[in-house]
Amino acid sequence: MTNTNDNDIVITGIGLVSAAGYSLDTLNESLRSGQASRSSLRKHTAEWSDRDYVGAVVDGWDPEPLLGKKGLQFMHAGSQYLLGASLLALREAGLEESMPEPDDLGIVIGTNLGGLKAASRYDYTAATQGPRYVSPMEAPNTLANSPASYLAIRVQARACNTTISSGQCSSLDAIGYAANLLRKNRAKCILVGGVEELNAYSLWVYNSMKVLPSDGAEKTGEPFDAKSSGWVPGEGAAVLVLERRGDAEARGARIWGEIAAWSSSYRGGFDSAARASGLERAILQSLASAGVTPDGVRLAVAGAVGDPAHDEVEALALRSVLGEARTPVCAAKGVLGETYGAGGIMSLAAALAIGQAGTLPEAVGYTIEPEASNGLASLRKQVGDRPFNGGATLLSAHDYHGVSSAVVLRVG
Amino acid sequence: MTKRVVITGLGVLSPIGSGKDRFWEGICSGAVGTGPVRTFDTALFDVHNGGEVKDANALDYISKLDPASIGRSTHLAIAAAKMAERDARLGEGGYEPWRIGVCFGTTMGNSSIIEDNTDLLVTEQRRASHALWSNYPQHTISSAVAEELELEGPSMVVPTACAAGNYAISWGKELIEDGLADAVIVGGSDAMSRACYTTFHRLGAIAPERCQPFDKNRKGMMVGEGAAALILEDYDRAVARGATIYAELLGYGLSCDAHHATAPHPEGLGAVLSMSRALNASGLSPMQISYISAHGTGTKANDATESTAIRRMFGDNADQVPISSIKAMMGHTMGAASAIEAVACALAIRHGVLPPTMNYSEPDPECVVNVVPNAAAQQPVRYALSNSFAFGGNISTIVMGEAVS
Repeated sequence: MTNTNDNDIVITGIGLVSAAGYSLDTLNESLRSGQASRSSLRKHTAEWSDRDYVGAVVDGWDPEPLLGKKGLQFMHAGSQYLLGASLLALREAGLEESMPEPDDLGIVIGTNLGGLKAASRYDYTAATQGPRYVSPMEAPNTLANSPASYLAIRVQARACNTTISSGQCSSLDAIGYAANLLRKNRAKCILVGGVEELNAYSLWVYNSMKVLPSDGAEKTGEPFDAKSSGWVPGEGAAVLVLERRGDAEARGARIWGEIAAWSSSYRGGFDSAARASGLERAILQSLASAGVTPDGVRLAVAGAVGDPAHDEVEALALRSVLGEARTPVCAAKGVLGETYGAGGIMSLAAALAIGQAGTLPEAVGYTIEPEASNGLASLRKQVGDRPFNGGATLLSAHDYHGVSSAVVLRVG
Repeated sequence: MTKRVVITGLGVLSPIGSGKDRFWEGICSGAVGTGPVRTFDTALFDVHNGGEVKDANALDYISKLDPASIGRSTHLAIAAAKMAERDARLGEGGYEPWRIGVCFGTTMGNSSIIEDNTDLLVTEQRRASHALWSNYPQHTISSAVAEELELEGPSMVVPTACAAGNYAISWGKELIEDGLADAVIVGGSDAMSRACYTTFHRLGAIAPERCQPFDKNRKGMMVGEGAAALILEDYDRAVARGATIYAELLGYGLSCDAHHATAPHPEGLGAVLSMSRALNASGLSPMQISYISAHGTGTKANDATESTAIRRMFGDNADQVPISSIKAMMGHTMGAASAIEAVACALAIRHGVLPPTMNYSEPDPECVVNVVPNAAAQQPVRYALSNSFAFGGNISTIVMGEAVS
């Protein structure tokens, strides 16, 4: 048992709109089976490629029953995902009928490519037809923080409305940012989320980053696999309700877990070992700040995504910190795809789902091999399921552009 | 005991001058840097003016990265960050690279990439290079600054539209207070953007000739570009290394109107909340503020609601405390605006000069009136409060003051 404190930052709700459904139960099923929604992305990529890219998409979701019809047509898919996941999180937290005072409710969202599609269309129309041919209703959508802005209006959040971009670290950084605001009493309750949508424009950026699989690749999106040929791009939103423990307990809320620490660092360039040193520092700092030793970590959820150069960075850092303890590792992106700005909270959702089930399933589990001959080989697929009964969980992420972040979560 | 956070270095590129000294000369002389837009052809637009950086080539500051594969907002951010780093003599501070963080705000990010791409599609039926597009995501701004300056602390972009600079500054303060960094390079950056110009044009918000904040006959905002960076440093460390301290960052407030996607709350609800939280966090009463750097965009709605909010917050003192908007001089530099205004506030405190509101001729009974009209004024500035408002009702206020030992 850990000592608890009224000022601990705890999770009292979680909501998902994802390729693995809309609840921790469906997510857990996906993690167990290794299967989540997959679709051809041809409708998005046809303009620049005749290939069939496959994505981890939000399939067949009808936002209307949850969000209502009003204003929906002006929101891009990402904003709809974020509002959907947020309302589900508030429901889960038991707040739907007794919302916090607007001045006490804040929003912190990790996302990266939100404004790209609308801004691209705006600019193209302005340059070819003239600026008066763009729609004024599209104006808010040209900005990266438009999903967060719609959300604030929808749920009446006035304490803060922050959007954070740090690539694949965005939503872990959003957690760190939100936890800080709560600790400093700048809000009583914060919806902290991550969101990204797949469209012709975001996929073009991924294509330019050369993280999409090569033509005819045998394996794609397989974490820590030297033969995997790049991302399965994903989309969706994951949202947490965060509160101080004292407030959560006072209203009798169910507590899913505690955000114990966050840390982050930057190390770019092409040298995996140098990048790994950045991630290692973020991990060690977050563990030290949470008062957890490496052998006290019960589970690590990595951001590995099936791009070997990227995954090697995480493998090296995890081996270095957790190799001796042989901590079980989960790589949920093998199922959920790379949801970019949403990836960190999707990983956190996976940790909660696994905690609820009591099992790290074989399909997403990995074992650290401290003596492996190279970085990537230090993580190999787990054989059989392993028990996970909660406790200190390390969430890590490394970004293509050099940021590394870590969050220490206490599950249960 | 909470750590004190001070400002020890300033870097700026703006339509009225680049580099701390030229910028300040521009402020003191009441320079107006807006004029016909040169970045793109405005023939199809009803208006043609904006604020552009003309006296500095940001590319001169880029030494490690390939300038052709990063966007213009990143160029500007790198230049501002390097100016600020040199101004602070941060390299002599003895800091480990991982103890220095980076946080930048932006509205449009690197939309120059979108616009280059559009032009190539139209003229040559091809897209901009993969190398350039690979650096489109927002946070390539902060990553590029970290890479160029060889910094390894926390690094992120806060794309909270036109309030982004103050959001970034606020987060830098938190990183130092929480012991995650000894120093943080904070700021904002936005290059002149046709997509942005299109947005404000479609909303009918751009003034045809000039930006006239708080004037009765104001006709709108003016899209500008620029970047600013400030070195935030742990006070004790800054004193120990003999750094020049411009001002102390005392506190900040965040809020959101949660009212409308593009229009401010008519009673300035979020603005009052943000200002009162910033004052509380700074341990100050409204009466103690010596200068307000207004968001003051020059639109009917902004200036009237900001005035309402200031009146609600400051009561009778709203007509005594000097309030100005430097956007008259440079236009609205988007995510850079509140960072540039923070530089102006730091220098106002250091030099005891109130930045003017230029282009001001007729008071508006709906607006604040003590606006330092048309010429800078000599007056000690002990505590300055700076507002920034954005689409989505995003609001952030910072308060800085003389760093008293």
